[in-house]
Amino acid sequence: MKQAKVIGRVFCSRQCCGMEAKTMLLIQPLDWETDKPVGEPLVAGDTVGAGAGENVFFVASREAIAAFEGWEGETATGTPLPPVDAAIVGIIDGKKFN
Amino acid sequence: MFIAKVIGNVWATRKHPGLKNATMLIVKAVDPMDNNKLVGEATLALDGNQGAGVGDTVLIVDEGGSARKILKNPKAPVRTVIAGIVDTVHITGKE
Repeated sequence: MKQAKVIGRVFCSRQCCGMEAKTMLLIQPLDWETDKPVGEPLVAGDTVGAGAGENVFFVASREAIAAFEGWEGETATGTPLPPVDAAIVGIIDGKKFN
Repeated sequence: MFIAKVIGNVWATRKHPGLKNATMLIVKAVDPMDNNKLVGEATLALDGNQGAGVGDTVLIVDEGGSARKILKNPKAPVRTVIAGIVDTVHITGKE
């Protein structure tokens, strides 16, 4: 799981299966130790209600779909799972290095 | 799987319900062939009930299916998990 900063939001009027009513945020991955940007910004599905400027952590690849799977009625009602490859799963309050 | 060292910890109040009660640690891979020198990029790993802490050398699983099995949670959105605490690594031909 990687750290990232929320730098924007993506709106789509036409969306594919399961993407309806999902918040898509534009995030810039950061290095854990230096907080410097690493790589290109990417779009991730939000599961925690993150907002602009917040430091978050996200999970990539297949596990991103698991973040939307059957939690708090999220897609438990039989709606299709969203085809995402990155999901924000937490807002960072703080971190400490020794 | 790879060997890594725990270099820090992270706390978060707002997180996915699948990560509830999980200890989140920042780990960095080490090279056992080169005096356990830290290599690569730091990453966030969940502690799979091993009780690891900062400074420990740990065994990391970086694959979703196995990670969920270790956490005993079939729906957790997790990929990187601490599967064990490394005591020693023996390399043939090295003392």
